[in-house]
Amino acid sequence: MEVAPEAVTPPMEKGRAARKDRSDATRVQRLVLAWARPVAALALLLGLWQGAVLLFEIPAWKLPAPYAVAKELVASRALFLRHAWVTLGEALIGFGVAFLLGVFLATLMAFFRGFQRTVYPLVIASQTIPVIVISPLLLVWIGYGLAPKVVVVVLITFFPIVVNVMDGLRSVDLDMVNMMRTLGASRWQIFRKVQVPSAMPFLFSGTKVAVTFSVIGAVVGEWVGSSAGLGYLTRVSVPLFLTVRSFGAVFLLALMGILLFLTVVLLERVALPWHYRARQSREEEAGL
Amino acid sequence: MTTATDDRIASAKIALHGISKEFVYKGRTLPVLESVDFYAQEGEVVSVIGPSGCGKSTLLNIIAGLEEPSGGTLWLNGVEARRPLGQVGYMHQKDLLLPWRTVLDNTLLGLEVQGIAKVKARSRALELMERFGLKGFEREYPYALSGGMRQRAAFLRAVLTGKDVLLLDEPFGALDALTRAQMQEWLLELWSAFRKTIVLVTHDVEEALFLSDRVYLFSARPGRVRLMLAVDLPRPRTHLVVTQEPFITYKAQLLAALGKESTGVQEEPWR
Repeated sequence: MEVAPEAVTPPMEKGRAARKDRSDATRVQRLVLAWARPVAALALLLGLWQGAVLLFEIPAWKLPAPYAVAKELVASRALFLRHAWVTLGEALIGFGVAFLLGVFLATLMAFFRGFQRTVYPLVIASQTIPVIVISPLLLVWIGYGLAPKVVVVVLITFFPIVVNVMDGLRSVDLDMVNMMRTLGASRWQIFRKVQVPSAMPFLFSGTKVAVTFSVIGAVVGEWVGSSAGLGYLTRVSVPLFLTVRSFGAVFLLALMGILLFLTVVLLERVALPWHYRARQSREEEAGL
Repeated sequence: MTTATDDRIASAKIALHGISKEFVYKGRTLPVLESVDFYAQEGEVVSVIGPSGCGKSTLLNIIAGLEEPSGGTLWLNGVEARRPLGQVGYMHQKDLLLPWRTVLDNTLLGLEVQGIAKVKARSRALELMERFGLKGFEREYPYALSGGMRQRAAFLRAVLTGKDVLLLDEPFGALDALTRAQMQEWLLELWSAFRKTIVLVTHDVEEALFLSDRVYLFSARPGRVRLMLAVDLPRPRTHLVVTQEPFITYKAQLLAALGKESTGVQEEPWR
């Protein structure tokens, strides 16, 4: 019996594609729900803090109330902004250097076993050096300016990038590699078309950790010796009984960390839609 | 070597003579394939069945060039081949679609690796989308597709490489029974359109008989050819054939032989 090829084409099974028409209303609801809880938790915490300060009449130089901190942030906004820029600059330059260095080292380590065996222990050892010990030495070695802060940031942030990218490059699905080989792909084509893309989610994971750490690194660098930055501001404000200013700087540091983190999350979503959407769909299926 | 063997090698699309493969595992040598003789003529569908671990997949890996045999000779198109990577199309039980590529870009992978111009490759792929039941899903990522669709996309990727030999390693093993039956009929349709030489590894006796011109039955490890059965059923075939007489006899024959293999009863090897 003769059947037209089209007729033999199997019917469309109900794929996950069918669920794409999830209504926009639920999407907005989910977004609100996702943000409502952390905001509510934060508000509750601040409320308790404000209440405690008022109730126990704690002096502002000991523990300023959130409202006082907010007032200070607005009143001295020019000062805060100037110092925030310095810290952000140190963090971003340090992170940028660490990113390039980390990706470079990780790629070499993933490619050459011998190189990995030689260098990996040193990479791990670099993380056991207490930054607080080495920072004063950095002042002696490379001076007082931007450089020592950048070095501290690099020291702290390159580790999560190296480890994640290396794991990513090596955790490639070997069946996929073999599939590429049967297509006649070269080592380089396999690297570029399979290993690099499959390492991308790892790269972003490492980057999320690294950008958050970069703010800490910049502050540590500033604490040891500096004349500007939010870390410097916290350090000089406490002895002057300007605790409220110190708190304002800490608040801005936290905000900076969160914003940097969210930026990376956003970049990940734009750069890896396949990863983000596949994960979302898997999580829904698993009821997470 | 007899002249009959020589002729067969010269004319066959794929020919294996005395192929053996051993793995060394924790210092011990593990024989997986032992002096396997195998051939597939141009445009033939040949199945390999056998108990698990009998080296069926290793056989495909050797033909694909992923693994080198420990002994014996492999010919492709009458020419001796050592590691013929990139010469045959290979489809795995897992679809192995790259999750970061759309369906279209996945199917283009083989052409891309060969360095064929994007525009040309694209139009060739788009022409075939409908036939592979993928029309309208070209821009979707693999996660959004059902298992059957993903498998068809992987199949299209193999077909688009333009190789005239396709190795299929339990291609429908991960699908449910209904989808599998549809895919089998669809595969036959495709085969009559493209007339590629197909070597199919399966553990499903019915699937082997339904699709093939010949079936090789392998022994338990180390894998040896126990039986070679020519399936004399008219084409085109539909699933009705599985309920009819010659099919049932073939099936009984294969199941009996397979049963002996699984229970470990050794018989005189088939010659």
